[in-house]
Amino acid sequence: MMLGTLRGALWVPDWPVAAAIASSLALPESPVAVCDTKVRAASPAARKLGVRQGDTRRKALSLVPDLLIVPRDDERDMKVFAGVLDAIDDHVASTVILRPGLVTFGAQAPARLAGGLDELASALISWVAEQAEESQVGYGCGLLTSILAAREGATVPAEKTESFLAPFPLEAVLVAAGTETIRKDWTETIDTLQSLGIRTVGQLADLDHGQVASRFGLIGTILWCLCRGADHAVPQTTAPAGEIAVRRHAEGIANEEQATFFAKALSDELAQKLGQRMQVCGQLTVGARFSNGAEKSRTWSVDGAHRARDITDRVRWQISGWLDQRREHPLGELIHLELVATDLSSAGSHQPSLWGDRRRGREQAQRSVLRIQGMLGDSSVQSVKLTGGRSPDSVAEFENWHATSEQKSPEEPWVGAIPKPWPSVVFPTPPRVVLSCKCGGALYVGEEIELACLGCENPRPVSLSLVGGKKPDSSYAHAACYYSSKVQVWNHAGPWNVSGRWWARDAYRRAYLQLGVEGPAALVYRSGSSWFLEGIYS
Amino acid sequence: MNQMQRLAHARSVLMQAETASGLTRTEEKEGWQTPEALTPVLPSLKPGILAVTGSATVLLSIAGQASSQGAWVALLGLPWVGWGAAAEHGLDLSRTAHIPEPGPRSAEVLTALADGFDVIATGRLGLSVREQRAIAQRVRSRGASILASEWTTASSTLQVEGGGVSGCEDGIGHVKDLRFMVSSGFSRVECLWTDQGLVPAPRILQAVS
Repeated sequence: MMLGTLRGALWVPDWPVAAAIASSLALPESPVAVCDTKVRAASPAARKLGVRQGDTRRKALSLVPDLLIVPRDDERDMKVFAGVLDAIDDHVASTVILRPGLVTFGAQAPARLAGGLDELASALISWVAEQAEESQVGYGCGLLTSILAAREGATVPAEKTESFLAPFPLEAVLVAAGTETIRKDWTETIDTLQSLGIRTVGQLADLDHGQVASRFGLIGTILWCLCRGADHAVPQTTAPAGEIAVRRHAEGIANEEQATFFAKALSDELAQKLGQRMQVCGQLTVGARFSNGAEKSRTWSVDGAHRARDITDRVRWQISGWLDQRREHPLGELIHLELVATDLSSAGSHQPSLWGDRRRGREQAQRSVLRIQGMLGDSSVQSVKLTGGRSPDSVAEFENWHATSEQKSPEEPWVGAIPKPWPSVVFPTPPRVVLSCKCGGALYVGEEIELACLGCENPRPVSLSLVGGKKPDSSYAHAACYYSSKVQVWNHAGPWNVSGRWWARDAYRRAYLQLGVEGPAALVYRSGSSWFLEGIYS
Repeated sequence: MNQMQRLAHARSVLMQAETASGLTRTEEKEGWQTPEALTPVLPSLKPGILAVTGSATVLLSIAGQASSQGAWVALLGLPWVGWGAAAEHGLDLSRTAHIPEPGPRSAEVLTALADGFDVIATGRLGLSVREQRAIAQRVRSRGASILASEWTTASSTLQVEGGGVSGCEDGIGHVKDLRFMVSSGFSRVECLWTDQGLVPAPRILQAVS
């Protein structure tokens, strides 16, 4: 019989309840249950009164009216468990977290180090007890054996594995299920097996592997292996919600050179820590405190950065950006800097592609945008989103740059929109223009959305000129390079009535006119009592 | 062959296979494909500086064509871009960064952009000749292209002249197409900007008398 290696398991009973108590959501003695729609875990006091895992919330409350119900929170379970892990991490290498509250580990080496299995068990229990948690440790060959042994606080010798496992009901295998989905898959297969008369672990282990595999596929094989006390490759889970932080006080950093030097020292330290753990970080938070008491913090998404140079660059850009801003908002000198690497993953999973990067991608673009944002501020780089609209100036919305935006082009036809093609130049703040008739009078748009003239009956635009040449508006400057003086109008189309963005606060009603002029054609509109130059078909 | 040589060899084989199967474009090695109407004057968009004077439409259509092939495009100092027209030209806005006001640090910004973007369309930046030369050098070495509406030391230039509009007369109809004459140093082409994009202008047959 192929037995697995000797494994240990550390089990904290009723972990969700223990986590709730550790987060001071409940008192240890009182009856407590952690529930979503059903009871996920109950405290010993509640169990004594008849509350069982899997009961509905209502049933539990009818059994124990003063039951304290704590909502289920996986994140809380993970976070509190991280403290327990830290306690055992220092002494046991290569732990595998099955779920919060249950860890298994290869027992051979740590036991040798601790001087025996029992010594290791008692040491582990006392370390965890320092975290104010009660735990049980057991050993056995194979995953299932070790977990079940931990429940009894026993050590199962290799030769007794079979006889130890055999009497357990088949559902006991579910304790080795790591996630909800796996648990669900396994439950289905176990139900089928039970309806076929296989009710205990021993009965399944007695079956022939080939037959189990041919009828129950991969899941059947996994269950069969577990029941025989063999190892099963558990998905390796690393410590949840981990972060690595380095921080340092500075002597008062006022200029960029000093900042660079300081950033490098701190980044090296962080990179070294990441290197020791063989991890890369997905996010880097730079936090700084200045001599006037102000605190600044910014989180960078750094995909898989672990080299000191990657980190140094970002930290340096950020600090020099902050120091630059001082001219407007005095921050004083930098006195404290903290770097926190979060979103950690193991280093092997991040590798540049084997085939090299021939073209630029999101990462490079993101990197140079971050650099510019460090120089000019967050809002300097924008992402554009098409929203659709009737006139060229209302189709786009701007947001601060984010590279992950999903582009969805608005396909709905906009009835009553300005006919395409649209002008390539659209002024953000349209300059005012004067449109004159061939009789010399000023043109306007009449009640019937038709061109009208103050001076004559037969209006016909002949010239266009910009108004307000003294204004230092950049839009005016752009327009002026096309129409520096009065330009002649050859022909025109329109006017069309466009009511735009009627659903929003900035609703407008305009009459649009296309003008074929000497030089590039123009799109102008009448709003109120003025003409504006919206765009140029340049 | 040492390891590096073998990797280089493997890459070139993969490149050939991808090119042969149409997975990547052959143009990628020599630059980005340009709008069909412009190929007589600009066969492809190569790394370096290309000045496009006199037309925002032609500038945007070259950038848009590159963007539709997967290029990352940055628009620097172009607050007046008509986004409706830009999208019609093929600009993929999810791969586009818009920096309307670079301010006095435009040279630094441009340098940073050259590291991360394939095509950078620029407006009036007020760069000195010295800065322009330095940036041109960097851009070429990074394999990026700058499409400049103003650049005094550009190695290649497209001059565009507008040739009037058709489709409207005395208030009737609407602008249907705009004619552009695009000329590089040696050749010259006429094209129309219509609601179908930039198309080659149909030849006007001249009656031979």
